[in-house]
Amino acid sequence: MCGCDAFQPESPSLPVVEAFVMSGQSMPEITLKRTGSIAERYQSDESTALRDAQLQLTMSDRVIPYSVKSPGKYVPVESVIAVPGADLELELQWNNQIILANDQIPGPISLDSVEISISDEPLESLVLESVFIDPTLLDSLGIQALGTGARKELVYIVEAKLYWAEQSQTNNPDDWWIRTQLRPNLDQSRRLFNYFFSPETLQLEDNFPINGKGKRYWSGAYAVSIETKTDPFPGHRLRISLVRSSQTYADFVSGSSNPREREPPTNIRGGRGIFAALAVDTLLINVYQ
Amino acid sequence: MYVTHSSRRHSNRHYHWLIVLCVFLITPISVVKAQDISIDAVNAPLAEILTSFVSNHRIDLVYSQRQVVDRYSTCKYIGNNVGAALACILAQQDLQAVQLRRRQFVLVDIVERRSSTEPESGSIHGFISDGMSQEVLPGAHIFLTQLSIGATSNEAGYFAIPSMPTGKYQARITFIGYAALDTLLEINTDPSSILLRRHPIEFQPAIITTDRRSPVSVEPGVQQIPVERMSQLPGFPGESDLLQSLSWFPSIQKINTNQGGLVIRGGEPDQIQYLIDGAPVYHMWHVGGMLSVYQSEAFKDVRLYRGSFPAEHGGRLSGVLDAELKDGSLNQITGMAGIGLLSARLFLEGPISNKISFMASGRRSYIDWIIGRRHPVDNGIMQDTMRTGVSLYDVSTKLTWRLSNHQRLSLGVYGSSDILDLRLPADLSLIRITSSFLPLSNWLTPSELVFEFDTRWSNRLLSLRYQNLLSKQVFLTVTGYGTSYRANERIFLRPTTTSSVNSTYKLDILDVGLKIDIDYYLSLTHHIRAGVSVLQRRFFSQLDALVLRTQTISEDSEGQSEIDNTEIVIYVQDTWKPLKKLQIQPGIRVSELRGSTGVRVSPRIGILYDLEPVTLRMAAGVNVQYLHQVRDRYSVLYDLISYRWVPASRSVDPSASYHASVGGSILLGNYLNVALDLYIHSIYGFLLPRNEEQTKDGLLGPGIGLAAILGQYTRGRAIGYGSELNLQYNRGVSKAWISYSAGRSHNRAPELGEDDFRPGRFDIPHRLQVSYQRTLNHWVFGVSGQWRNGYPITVPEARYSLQDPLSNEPEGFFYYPKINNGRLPPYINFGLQCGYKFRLEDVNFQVHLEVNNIHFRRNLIGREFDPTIPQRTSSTSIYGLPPYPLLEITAKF
Repeated sequence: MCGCDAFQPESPSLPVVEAFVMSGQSMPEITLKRTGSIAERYQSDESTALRDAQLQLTMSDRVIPYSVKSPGKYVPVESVIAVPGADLELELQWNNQIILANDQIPGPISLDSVEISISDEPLESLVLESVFIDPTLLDSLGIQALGTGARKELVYIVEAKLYWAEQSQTNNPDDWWIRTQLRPNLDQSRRLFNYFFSPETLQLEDNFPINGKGKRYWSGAYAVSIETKTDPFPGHRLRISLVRSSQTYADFVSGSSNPREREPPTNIRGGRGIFAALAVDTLLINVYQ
Repeated sequence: MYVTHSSRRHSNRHYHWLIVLCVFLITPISVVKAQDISIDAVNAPLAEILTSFVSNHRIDLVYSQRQVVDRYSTCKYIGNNVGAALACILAQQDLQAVQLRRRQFVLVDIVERRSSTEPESGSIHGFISDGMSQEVLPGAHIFLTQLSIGATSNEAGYFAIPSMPTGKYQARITFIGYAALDTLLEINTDPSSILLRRHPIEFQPAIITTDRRSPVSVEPGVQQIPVERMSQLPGFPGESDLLQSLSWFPSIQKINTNQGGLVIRGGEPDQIQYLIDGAPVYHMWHVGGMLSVYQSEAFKDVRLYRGSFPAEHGGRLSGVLDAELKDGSLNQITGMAGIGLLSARLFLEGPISNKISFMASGRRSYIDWIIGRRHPVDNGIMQDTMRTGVSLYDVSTKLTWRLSNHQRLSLGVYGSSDILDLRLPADLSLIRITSSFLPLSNWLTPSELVFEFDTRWSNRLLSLRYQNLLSKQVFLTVTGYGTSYRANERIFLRPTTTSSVNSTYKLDILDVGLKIDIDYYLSLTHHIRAGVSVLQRRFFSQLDALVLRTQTISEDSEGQSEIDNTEIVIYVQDTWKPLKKLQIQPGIRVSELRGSTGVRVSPRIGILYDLEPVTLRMAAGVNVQYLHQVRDRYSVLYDLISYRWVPASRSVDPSASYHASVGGSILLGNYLNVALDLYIHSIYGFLLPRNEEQTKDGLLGPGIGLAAILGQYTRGRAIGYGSELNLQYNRGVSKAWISYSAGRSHNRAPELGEDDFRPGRFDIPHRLQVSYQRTLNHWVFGVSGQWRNGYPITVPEARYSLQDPLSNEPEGFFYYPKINNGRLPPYINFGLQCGYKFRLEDVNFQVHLEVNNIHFRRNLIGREFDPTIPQRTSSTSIYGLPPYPLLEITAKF
């Protein structure tokens, strides 16, 4: 019946897996580490490396043993290509524990074409620190409940339209997720722009529209801030990414969006982290007016 | 029955008598076995025989001295039948012993009864009303003092004590807030009309209606709330508000979300049914839960059932709040006007004719009248109209027509509305600080970037009730009602000159129902209440959202959801009084939601036992709830203020609770009432969020389709247990109130693999509230304090990082091993209250000032953790209100 007030418990260290298998490529290096104390800055180095672990992957029925490359880094003992459509299982033995994870390798993906357009002139834009709405704060008259810090800026809007071919495998497109991302190399806060302009998205592949040529496509945008209306458009590099994955990686991405509120869901049974198979295509371009 | 002492005639007649009464009591609890009774009396004084018989055999026998004086009896009896023994004693006496219940008898004059046209037995029955307004008083107690027989008036103020031998009976009638009335009641064809006078002392007796003199009149599980008393308890925002006051009871917590409402015993807010004149109300809170739609003056009776309900109530797991609007006075027009920090209110009641009365009550905020709702602005380039429409109101009216002594017809209308209509520059720096506060348009300038937030919600209720005393033993109540809840949320935001967010969301709930309740006073020991109700519900929601991200990129979300269903309920319960100190109330409620998972049976039982001066009570039962309250947990464009109700279906089971409670209360010195209750419950099938930490932080969520909403929830299990202590002290000019609760409320989601229970979001292990008030002539001073554990929060226990292939650097995360594994610091609030009453030109004024948080404590009401900060204290604290004064002035005329 007793109720303890605000305490800060500590958990014993848990193994953390970081493994992304790329479709059509060799089996990847896998990083194994331990959780750290909340009282200290977390360093992904030897201090948190998971040592003395036994690790192996199984692709369909083929066992792929791993060996230690350096503290916390494990590599396959032989080069094996990740076959699209194959089932994957990770088995990790550490400290008398067996940690397991599963996923499925998606079919390869590639950007078919990209269209870029830039607004003719700068636009007035609203910058919000947050639009976070927390109903539990309404009663306290907390202004944070409706977001604060609104101010105006001038921005150019850059739009990008991506096309890609649908997966040719027999798998139901309902099973696969597509993540798109526009990542400009700019030294500017992205919070507002991510919120309103959607420089990235995560959806089931089947939800993307198909054009007349049978290609699926998506349009996104981002903003580039300038000081005055007469400032020219700042040229920059843009990385465009297209990812196909199973539900596992989709959950990880959507759960990682607000680390102040929550941790991403994990598919590591007995630990934390992520073991996911992806198909990725990336394009780097220069954007200028 | 008063004894009439005639002058005792002394007779010189000599007599010889011999009485031999052999009593063999096998056990001390008066279990009489064969051959226990032996009487051998010859010409013995009847009074002495009866006295001895009653004493030795521990029975109750009621008679007057008139019936036994100067009478003699000869009887020889050996056996084990009390009735036969009494018949032997009364032979040749023109008297008869009539058994009321086990081991309880009353002497009846045979000659008198035969010689008259009166029936041998009948009902003592009548209506109990307020002496001034003639407002009927539900829940009043009628207690026949010599027989220790009691009854309680129903919602029409009607009571009946059937199967009573002809005669007159001394009765005491009591009701909270009224002076006790001692009177003689007799069997009549027409119901008696009993008028109670309001208590001359404003401070009313105890709230928990545990009258030790008539314990059997208390329903298990019910807390009847004297409206006037509750309105005197301190509460935010200093205005008379019934639901705010309820949180002074142990285990009843007002929660601080826009979902609003109360939670009982750590449950969920949607687990309480709110009724006004028998009709459900869905959203009973104004402005983010600060003020309820229950204005104190408009109600004559409020009953709160915690955990254990009579069979007539159901449909929720934790509690039922049953409020009755006032009928209105038949005597004269009276009223009250008040003004507080948030709103002004007016109450009127009075007669329309000698049979028809009215009540009208209204409350409205006035801030929009001060600052204005629309503000034309012009900066020479642009013109616009900014809006600051913030208002709320609630109105209630009731017409009551006393058709005859036996019939009554009432029409209740209730409505409430909230409007929050804003159109302001999105860039707050455009708000100019000027020397004059008003008009508000001085502060505002036009802007291309604006935001609009127009949300409004309303309740409408119409209740028509017909009550008819069909016979002395049968009382009929028919209630037809329609009730609706409507919410509209509109958001418009222009983040750039070429993009916009435009969303309109509507939510409608419409209920139309018919209830028929019958009270059948079968016998002195059985009061049957049965009824049937049919309720047709319609749920409708519609979303139309368009996000124009750029001139060429847009997304929309449109949807519509409509659900119709019918709920049918049949119930029956018996209030059985097998012993004068014991009441057992078994009941059963059978319900079906058409299209759901079939018929559900909810048995209930309540037991009361009087061990003077202690009253013990026990209750157990099953409750079924067909409605789940959910909201989209992703999008900021809809489900902001409103929560959606989703009925059970073949894919979503109704939730059910199994609960039991035991408790007792003691009334000491008629001024101190102490009540203690222990409870335990187990709940199945209620909806828990799949991700408790998910917050609304996206523009377009998954939509308003039923599957999209329900997909965010999973079925949960809950257990709760605890104890509740309440002390109420009312003596002279002093009044004190202490409530303490200790309990736990735990949840788990089995489908998410949770094997262990974790604290529920309203789990409060300890809570203590103290209030003391003292009257000094025209002044009332008070001090109050609240202490409770903080709400559970989820705190991290470790940290780690992961690097997404699309990221340039690792992202830090906290490891949250378990939901609600931590707790905020205690919530503490001390307050002072002061009131002054004065009379001016036949009007009674009262000024009430209340200051809360007098010790300047900034209570912590939330905590965020930032994994980018390395220190242990990497949390952001969110604090509650600073000290705040509250003022209200009322005038009664």
